[in-house]
Amino acid sequence: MTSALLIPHSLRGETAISIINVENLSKFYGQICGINKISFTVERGEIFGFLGPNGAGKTTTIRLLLHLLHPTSGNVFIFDQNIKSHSYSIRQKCGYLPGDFSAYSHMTAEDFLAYAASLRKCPLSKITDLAERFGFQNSLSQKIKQLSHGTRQKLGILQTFFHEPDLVILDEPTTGLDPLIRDEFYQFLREYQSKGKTIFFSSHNLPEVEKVCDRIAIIRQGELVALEHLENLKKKRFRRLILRLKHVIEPFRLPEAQLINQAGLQYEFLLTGDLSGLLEHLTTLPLADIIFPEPTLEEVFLVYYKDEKNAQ
Amino acid sequence: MLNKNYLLLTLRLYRGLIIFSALFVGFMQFLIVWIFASFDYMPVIEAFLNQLPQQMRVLFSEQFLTYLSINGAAAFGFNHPLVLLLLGLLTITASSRQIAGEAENGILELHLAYPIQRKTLFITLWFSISLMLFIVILCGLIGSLISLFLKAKLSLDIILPLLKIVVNLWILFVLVMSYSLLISSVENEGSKAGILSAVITLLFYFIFFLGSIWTFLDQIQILNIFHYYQPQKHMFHQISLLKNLSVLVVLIIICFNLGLRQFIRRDIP
Repeated sequence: MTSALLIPHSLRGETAISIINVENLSKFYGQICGINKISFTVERGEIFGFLGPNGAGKTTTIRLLLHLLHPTSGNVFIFDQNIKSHSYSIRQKCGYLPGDFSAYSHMTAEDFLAYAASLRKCPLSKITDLAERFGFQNSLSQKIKQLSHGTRQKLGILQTFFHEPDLVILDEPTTGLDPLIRDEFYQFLREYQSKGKTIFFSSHNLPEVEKVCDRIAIIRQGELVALEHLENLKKKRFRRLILRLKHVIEPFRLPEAQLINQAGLQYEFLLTGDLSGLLEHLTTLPLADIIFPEPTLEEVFLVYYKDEKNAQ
Repeated sequence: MLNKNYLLLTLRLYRGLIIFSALFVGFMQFLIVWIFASFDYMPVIEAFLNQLPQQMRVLFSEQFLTYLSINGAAAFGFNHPLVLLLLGLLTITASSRQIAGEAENGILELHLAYPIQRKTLFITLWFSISLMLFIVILCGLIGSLISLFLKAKLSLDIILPLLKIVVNLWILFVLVMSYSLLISSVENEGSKAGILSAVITLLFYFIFFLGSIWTFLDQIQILNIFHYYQPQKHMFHQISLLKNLSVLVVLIIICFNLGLRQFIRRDIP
């Protein structure tokens, strides 16, 4: 794998080619806001993470990208074409894995893939390699209704990638996959990116997005709260620290950390700076356990809101 | 305009129901004509009518007796409640499942992410269900013709009215399918769309049925789709096929266009 190819054009100093260009996109369901004035671009050869909690507007945005929903206002350009007028030709070059993948349950997986290939007017020749890679070869002849949730998701992955689309839109693609297949899938995405393909990766799982994405947009309550390169996001990121002590001690403070919660012998801190001074202090404490929990999305949002307030 | 792969898929999805309906309707037509051709039932009916009081006997007109001929039986077969029920079931199930049902279970979302235009999908579906209905009704016609060939005289006098009946029946159910697709294009749940289409169709049928008992309903029958399908009248040349078809086709065009427009405009799901 060529590492240079894994970096999107803008980071390599080349002229960026926008594959997706979203301009002030809004969708309202009556009075209810789906998304509100969202704008972003996705460059060619990029894995773009679209992060947000459930109900934030991720799926609405994806459905607008594919013209499954009609926008209340705003525009979507994919491959420099407006989705409203060129939906058909755009969809020819896209692969899509819906959040809740379902197919005709009485069909065999093989028949379903053959049907998908016939609609795309594309041979199924590469399906064997893909099926083998994701351990699906034995399930090809099975009826879809007999497949487990995870195996069905693998079928979803196969139908998304078999025609090697230039743009792939994935909505929570790893749901139901076991950890080994999940890692294989991340590896596959990186290899796919190295071919110059673009991937739009929607998820509510921050560590997952961190593993594969170059750039991340964070959506919350229908609004885009951040659009960052992964490195910047990591810089902004804070961590929590949970200490469990062996016995009660005098009240204490930790450098670069703020106590946010205390219950009995358990102390929860918010880490805000350099860890070197902190580690020295920790050795002086009667520690029973140290935990660094993964930050939740809400915590990441809090950082962004805090930044916004400070800026104001 | 049509997508061959989607057409084959829909035919495949409903092949069980199509085969069952075709065999059932074909066998039923065969059996009805066979029974009427096998037994000399007229003396029995005349004896029965003679036993009735005079006031009741007038209820059974001469026309009623002509309906009890082989020709009448062949026409009756295409108006049998079971045949209409089966055709309705096929029509409404396919129409409501393929749009509202698939919008509900997520398949439509996936489908429309493939390179297939909404217009093509809708027109192909409309054509596909029309074809399913045609196959089933054609089997009914074949059943009747075989039975007539084996047990009675097969002449143009009976073949032509039978052809008129099957065309009229087919167009009637294409109309049922067209408004079912319209409802399905608006709804997000397959079961809701199916129930609504079935209720509307049953309402038409019962109002038409009650019209034969209560004459005061006659004035509103012109608004009833079943008024434009009366097979016995076709058999005895008492009604114009052209008039029936023109009304039904106009309604089909309206429902089809509204359905297509709604399907193109709708959000998925």
